[in-house]
Amino acid sequence: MEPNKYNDRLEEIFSKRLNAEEFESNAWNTPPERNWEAIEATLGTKRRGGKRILILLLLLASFALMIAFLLFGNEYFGKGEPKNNLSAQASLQVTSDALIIQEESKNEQPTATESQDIIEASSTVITSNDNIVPPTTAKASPKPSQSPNQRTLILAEPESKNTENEALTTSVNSSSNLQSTTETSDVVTSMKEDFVDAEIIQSSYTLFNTEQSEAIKPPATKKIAVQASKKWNVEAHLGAFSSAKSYDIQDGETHLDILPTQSIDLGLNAEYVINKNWIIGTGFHYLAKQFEADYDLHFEYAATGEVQTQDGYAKAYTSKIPSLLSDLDAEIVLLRSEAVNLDTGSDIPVEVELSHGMQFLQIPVYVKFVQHLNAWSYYLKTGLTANIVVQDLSTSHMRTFASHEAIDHHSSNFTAADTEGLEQREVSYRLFSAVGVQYQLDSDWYLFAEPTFSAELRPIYPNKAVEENLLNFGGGIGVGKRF
Amino acid sequence: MREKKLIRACLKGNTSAQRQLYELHRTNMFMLCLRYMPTREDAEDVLQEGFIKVFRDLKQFDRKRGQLKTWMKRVFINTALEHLRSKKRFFPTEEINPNSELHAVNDEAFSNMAAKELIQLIKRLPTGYRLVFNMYVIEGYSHKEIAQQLNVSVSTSKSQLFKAKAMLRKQIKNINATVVLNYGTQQVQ
Repeated sequence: MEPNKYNDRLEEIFSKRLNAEEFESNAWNTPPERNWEAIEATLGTKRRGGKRILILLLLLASFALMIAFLLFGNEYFGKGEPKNNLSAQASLQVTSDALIIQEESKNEQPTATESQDIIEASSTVITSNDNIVPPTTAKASPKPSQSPNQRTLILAEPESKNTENEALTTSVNSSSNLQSTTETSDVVTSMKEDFVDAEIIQSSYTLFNTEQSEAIKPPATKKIAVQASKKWNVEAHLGAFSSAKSYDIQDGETHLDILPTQSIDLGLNAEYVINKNWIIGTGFHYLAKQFEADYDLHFEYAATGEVQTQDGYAKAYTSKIPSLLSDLDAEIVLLRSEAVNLDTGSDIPVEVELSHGMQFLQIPVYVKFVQHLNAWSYYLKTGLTANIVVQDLSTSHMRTFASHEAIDHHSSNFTAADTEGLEQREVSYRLFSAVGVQYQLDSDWYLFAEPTFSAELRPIYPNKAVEENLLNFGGGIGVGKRF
Repeated sequence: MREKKLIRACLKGNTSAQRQLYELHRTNMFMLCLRYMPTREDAEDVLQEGFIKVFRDLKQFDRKRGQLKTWMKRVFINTALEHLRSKKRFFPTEEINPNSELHAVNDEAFSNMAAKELIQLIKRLPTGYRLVFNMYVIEGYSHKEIAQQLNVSVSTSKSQLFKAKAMLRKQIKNINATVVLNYGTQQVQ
């Protein structure tokens, strides 16, 4: 809007005086404060800010809770309880899994195969070590000094031949069972405090602690760790995410140059161990994605349908611009001045720079099948994730060659509300599956890595074709702790 | 904060940035609203609606296509026009005989007036005159653009401008007369 040529002095005075760059603020030209309050209330910025803080607090609280569990969880799970209170410990620690060890061999030390059988018979196996510990000649008892972190079951060679033919069946189903077994037979059963490891030692076997085994080193003794009832895993997850799809744009040949999606996925998972192979879990994740792309669109010039406007002749073209999760339905208005004449069918290139950022909260629910291979395990995981959009912001810039001017109008489902951010709270669901590898650092801590594939059950925005941009590939690493 | 950063922050929903942008432009935009709207209350309503539209549609603003202030002005003018349409205060049906409005006034009389006084003069114009005068003289729209915006003919726009200026001259003449009269009265006293 350039000033018109002044027809008279009146126009000049009014124009210059009222088009001044700066006006001194006075009572007459200053709007009341209630105007801003009304604007703010309408935009919902206060509410939005509050929600953001709430979300942030929730995330912080979740992390704080996890750290607290990691640091102090052991205390609450009985680490400080006296070791001699076996029945009490057993009642706390041994829940559902029965460990049955049958030894029918004579004068034979448990072999690696047998040990593996024992592991598989137990509910969950964590240890890793099949070290052969030499048999002892002296019966040892658990030492209070035994490291609390040691959760290995040490099966020693029968001390005397009297027990050689004795079949050992130890069933630990409850504290009473455990107690009676301990009293009536010559079986030493030690439930090692908080670690949920059942240590069941037949009378003819000798329990070693670390120091003893170091000192005595009885030959050919199996050292097997069994986790009987650690039921909970808490995992912190850090991941990345990307989308992939091919795309054809209408109205001419199109070359796409899509840059990678930058994303981050932070989350916490809580898992319940059903048995040694099956785990169910849920979590709370924050996912942020930023998408940058340059598109070269081509339109075929057609004079028909042009509309004369104040700026020249205009014709609107529509195109889909691929973006995150869904596509921007853009209306591209090409303006040409009256002086420019084009032949029908002329190619009009339009460059589009697109930036699209989205933030989600995700709540996954999943089931996990785990196979253990000593310190390593692998798993298959599948489930459903609820995605809640908390912010969605896209910006674009279009340009074309000199004889035209490009004006873009996003007419997709999420145009006007984009800058509203939190106004848009669509929820969608995503089916996902992952193959993960897990490495046991010790019996409590583990690391994992999992590539993920997911597909939207429904686009985040309604009225969109399901097949559009809905395949996602991701991956992450994380650390977990058992409780 | 530079305007570019301010815009970016506003796009992200930063309340503080939105407030800064509001503070930066509220006076100019309120004066625009005062020029277009018949009452101060109406101007406040338009200011409010206009800023809400600005924050909502800020992503449509393209720096390469012009200044933010210019874009905002367009938003506020459109908002004012919508507001007037909704209240059916658009064009007056009454026709004023231009000849009766012609007043021989030295336009320099306006040069001594402050912005506030000029706006008060504009506000006294009938709606149609006021719109055309504002859009043509202050904002720099062509008659063709005004005709499209207001859905009238180009000749109507031209005649409305002519009548608006005639009425302004009449007003200034009356004001001068009042001043002279007052002065004369004081002299007498």
